[in-house]
Amino acid sequence: MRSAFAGSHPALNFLFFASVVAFGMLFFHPAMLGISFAAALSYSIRLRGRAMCKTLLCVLLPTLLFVVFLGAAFNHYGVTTLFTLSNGNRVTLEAIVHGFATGGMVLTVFLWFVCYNAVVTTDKFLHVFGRVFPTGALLVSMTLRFIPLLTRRMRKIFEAQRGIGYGGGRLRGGLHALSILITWSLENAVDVADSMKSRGYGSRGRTSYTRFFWTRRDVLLTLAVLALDALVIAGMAAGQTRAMYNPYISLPAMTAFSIVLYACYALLCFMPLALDCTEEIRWNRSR
Amino acid sequence: MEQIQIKDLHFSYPLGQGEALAGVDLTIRAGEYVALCGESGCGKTTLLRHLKTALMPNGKRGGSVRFCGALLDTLDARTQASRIGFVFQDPESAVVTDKVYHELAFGLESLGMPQGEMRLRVAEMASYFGIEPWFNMPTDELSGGQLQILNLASVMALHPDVLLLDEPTSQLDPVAAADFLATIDRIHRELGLTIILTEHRLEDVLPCADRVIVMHHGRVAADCTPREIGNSLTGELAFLRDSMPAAMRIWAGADGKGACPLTVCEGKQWLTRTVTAAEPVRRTLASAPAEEPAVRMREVFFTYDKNAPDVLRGLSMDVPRGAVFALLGGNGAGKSTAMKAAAGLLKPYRGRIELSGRDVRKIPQKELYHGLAGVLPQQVRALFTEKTVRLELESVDRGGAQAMADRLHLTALLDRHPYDISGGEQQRLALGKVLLTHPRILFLDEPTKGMDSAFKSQFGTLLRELTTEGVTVFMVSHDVEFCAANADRCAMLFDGMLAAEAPTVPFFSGNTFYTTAANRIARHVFPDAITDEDVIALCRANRC
Repeated sequence: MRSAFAGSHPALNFLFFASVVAFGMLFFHPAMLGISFAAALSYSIRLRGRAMCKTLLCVLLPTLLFVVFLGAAFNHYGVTTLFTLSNGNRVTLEAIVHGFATGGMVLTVFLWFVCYNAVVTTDKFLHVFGRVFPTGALLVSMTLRFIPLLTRRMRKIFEAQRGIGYGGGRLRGGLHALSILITWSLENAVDVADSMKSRGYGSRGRTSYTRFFWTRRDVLLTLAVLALDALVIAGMAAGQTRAMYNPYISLPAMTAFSIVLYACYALLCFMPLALDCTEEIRWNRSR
Repeated sequence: MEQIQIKDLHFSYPLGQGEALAGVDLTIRAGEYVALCGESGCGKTTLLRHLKTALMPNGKRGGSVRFCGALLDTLDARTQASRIGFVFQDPESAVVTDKVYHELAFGLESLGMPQGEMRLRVAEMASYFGIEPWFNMPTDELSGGQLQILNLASVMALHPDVLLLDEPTSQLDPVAAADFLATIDRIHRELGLTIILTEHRLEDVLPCADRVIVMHHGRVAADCTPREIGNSLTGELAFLRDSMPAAMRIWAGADGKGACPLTVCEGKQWLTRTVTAAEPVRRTLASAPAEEPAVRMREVFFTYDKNAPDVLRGLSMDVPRGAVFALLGGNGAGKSTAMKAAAGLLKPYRGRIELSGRDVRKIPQKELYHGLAGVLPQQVRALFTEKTVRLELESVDRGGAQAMADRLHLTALLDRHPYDISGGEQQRLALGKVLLTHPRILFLDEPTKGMDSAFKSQFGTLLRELTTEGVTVFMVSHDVEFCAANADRCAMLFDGMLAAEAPTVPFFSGNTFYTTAANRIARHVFPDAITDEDVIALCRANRC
């Protein structure tokens, strides 16, 4: 799916995902969890469409329920007893809520990573790191080139060896093929090195080509993300995000500040989706 | 202006016997298109590598190479990287990065060019070479022809004055090779670059080149225009004849008069002038043997992926016993797939394949690949496991190794490492390994790729010998000329099915485009002549 957020500068993408994943792992407060979960879920569905819904229903929700079940079945703290099992163990509201909070947190972070994978392609990753370590970025790029190449070669070797009667056992055949692959690749490395040298590799002051540029919107959004991050951190420092589930559920009192905090967090988490929606509306209007 | 001056250049490899370059004197002017040719091992690649210090081989050297008046060694690495471009033989191993645009920018990044300039140059290259449609693609998904164009563009992005190309089309199929050479010609015409290119197959090179330099045993044997080469082909340069364009080969073979024709078009005109329209002599066709075929395929369907389109769609064909059978077709037509399926390496999901009357699925692997079928893969390196050529052969059959080495002219190479011998020699060694399993049916995947013309004819003879011993040869090839001269039957695969199948002569004389250059030159007077020998013989018989 085309996404306006995915089209913005890689550094912004990175900053955003770093923020939401870090916050997602830090906050146990149900409101904060809920906001982040809702944002991650809606954005991942927007990016992945039906496939995401399928994974969600078939894999993620059962996992969540399983975590809740485990929590409720084996944790017996809490003051609100819902019912007592035949072996005398109590099932408490606190344990169930805590189970939902833990499961929700894991699920949220997982969903953010699903979005990350869709948005931050290798190109973007290389762009961000290429600026700092041009050689490292080249290394990653070369690795990405050689993995499929070597896999293909390995298949050819197996086939070729079979064609002259060296089917062999799995293990022996595999080791045999691996030794051919290594010889072949070492020989090949000489050609690669020649090709690199002949195009000036090894000269000082390597730069890194990029297809990404900062737009005004990227700058503004980055500043906004930084500002929202600062506010959320301030809220955290003020203890507004603390939550306790044992022995009883205790949350900080709702104040004007906490409402502002939730709003800021929601703005931050829903930013990609909001951006996508505005872009889509604009596009539809321009028709 | 003299751009490159080579004075009395000598070079010998540390372990080699004799000099690879034995006193080369050359002057190359700016903007010349030079075709550097000669047999395998004549020193043309060694010479080419001496023009680029980064690639200069190690060994004993004498003499000098000057670039624009200055000694080449005194030029700094940066200048050399940008002013002298080099394109390699194997497109796959020359590509370094995972994305097309990154590969284009590779040289520019190495030289530390600022972002803005890089952008412009990458954009220019992408549009000049028509790379835009695959600009964002991973390099792994490109075809060989695309990879080689990418290599060229990535070198051109550095704005070189001289472009050196080392057999750039030897790993490409004929269509991609012609495209690539057309691009080189365009660069030469439009940008006035100096181009020095080595090549085995000169069919498409010579008509574009300004000058031909022939190397022989490390020396310059001839240095003239392409047309002048024609006059020496019957004399001292006879060894070159097989690598020249068909028009030149026929002209020289039939003792042609006047200016030597270079292209099919010129050849056709020359032939019309020379020959009276006589009754064509028909080759007598060997009647197809009626016995049970060696390979029988019936309605074979195959796909690599459940959701991908079928590669073979109901392919049916028979390969007669004891024949050389050639399966031709364009890129991606499924030729190799058909061959691998026939050899039992791939399992079709529908249809029946029989080898010597037995269902290939029911033959145990031990029997199948020990005495019944043998497969020579396209990339022969996939077969080499040992340290020396001798061990390589002995690993298959200790007793037969020596005899096989003699038969394939490998005796002198027995103690060399399989990777240290030339491409054609590797091909022979791989063939030896396959033959030592004593297959009754020999499967060959593009056997002539990268072979020089001298060995090609030897190889053709070898295939003939094998068929007299009762071996059936099933070959997949792009090489129309080779198949016309050596196959008994040819078939063309298209869209997963056979488009045509016939004995070689009617097969080629029935095609208009997919046929040999000799046939295209002569078809208006001798419709059944498909090889040079046919045309030459008919020319001599029907001269006006």
